Amino acid sequence: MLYRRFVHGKARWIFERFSAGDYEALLKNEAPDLLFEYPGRHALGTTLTDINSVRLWYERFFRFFPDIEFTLKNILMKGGPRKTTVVVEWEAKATMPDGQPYDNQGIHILIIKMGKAAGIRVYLDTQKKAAKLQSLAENGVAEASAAPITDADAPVAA
Amino acid sequence: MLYSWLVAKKTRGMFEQLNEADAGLFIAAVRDDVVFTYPGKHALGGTMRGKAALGEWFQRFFRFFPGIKWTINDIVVEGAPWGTTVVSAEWSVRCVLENGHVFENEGLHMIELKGAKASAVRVYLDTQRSAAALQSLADSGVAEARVPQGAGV
Repeated sequence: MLYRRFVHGKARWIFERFSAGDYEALLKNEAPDLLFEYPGRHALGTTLTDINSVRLWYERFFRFFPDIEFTLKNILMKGGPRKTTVVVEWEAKATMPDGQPYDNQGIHILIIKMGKAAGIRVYLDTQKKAAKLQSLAENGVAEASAAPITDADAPVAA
Repeated sequence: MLYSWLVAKKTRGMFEQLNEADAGLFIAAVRDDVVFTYPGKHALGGTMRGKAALGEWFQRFFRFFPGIKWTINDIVVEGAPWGTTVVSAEWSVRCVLENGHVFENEGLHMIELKGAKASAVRVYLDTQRSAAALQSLADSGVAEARVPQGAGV
């Protein structure tokens, strides 16, 4: 019961940081070799396995959705500290850089191992996401129609 | 723990029956005033209110996706029998459409139970892939796949 309360609090904290644009706080809680899956055929849809490419992804994400605000509808969890699955259902709203309003509903699945996210899997309305990025590209933000970020884009550590 | 196990087992059973193109268990498990939400701008996307609308939606769904197979990846249950229980069923799905288009998707059903029955079911999946499958059916002459979903089927 105590662990459940801790995990629910942690999930709320993660989305509070996400809504604040504080992706460095999120990265500190993610494993270096996490599996990061974001759906859809658009500039943000990708599968990444390197935290350095995930950082590039967050940077791009917040260029498109700088003021995104998540509202949580449900948090579900199972498992213990060795492996916890957390399912977060959310609604999101943002104003994009060209002024268009954006909203979507979706799910984050977080696989947490020993306090760090080892897996992040997202489900959302990809048609809506792709359409908004398409109009953002048409309004002059070229990156919105760029190829997705891959692990090959991650800076190599010196 | 036993309650969670029972709810997960029942949920799994519903999907096993959907794999036989039979929505009977699913429809029996919802309240008369269920709100069922399926995302996307295509012939299946929309909000269905009530058992009858849900039944018609499933009939249309199985006309588009005959022989569709769900594989359940995980079920998470949160809640207790005396209050509201929320169930998530994460799945992958595959169907070869009648025109040969291979439809594959991954997603999740979020099910809110009040008492023993579902008051709300919200589906999350890659809507681009659903729309592409229905577009391919429309292009093959299936007129119903072109019809936008309204308030009901």
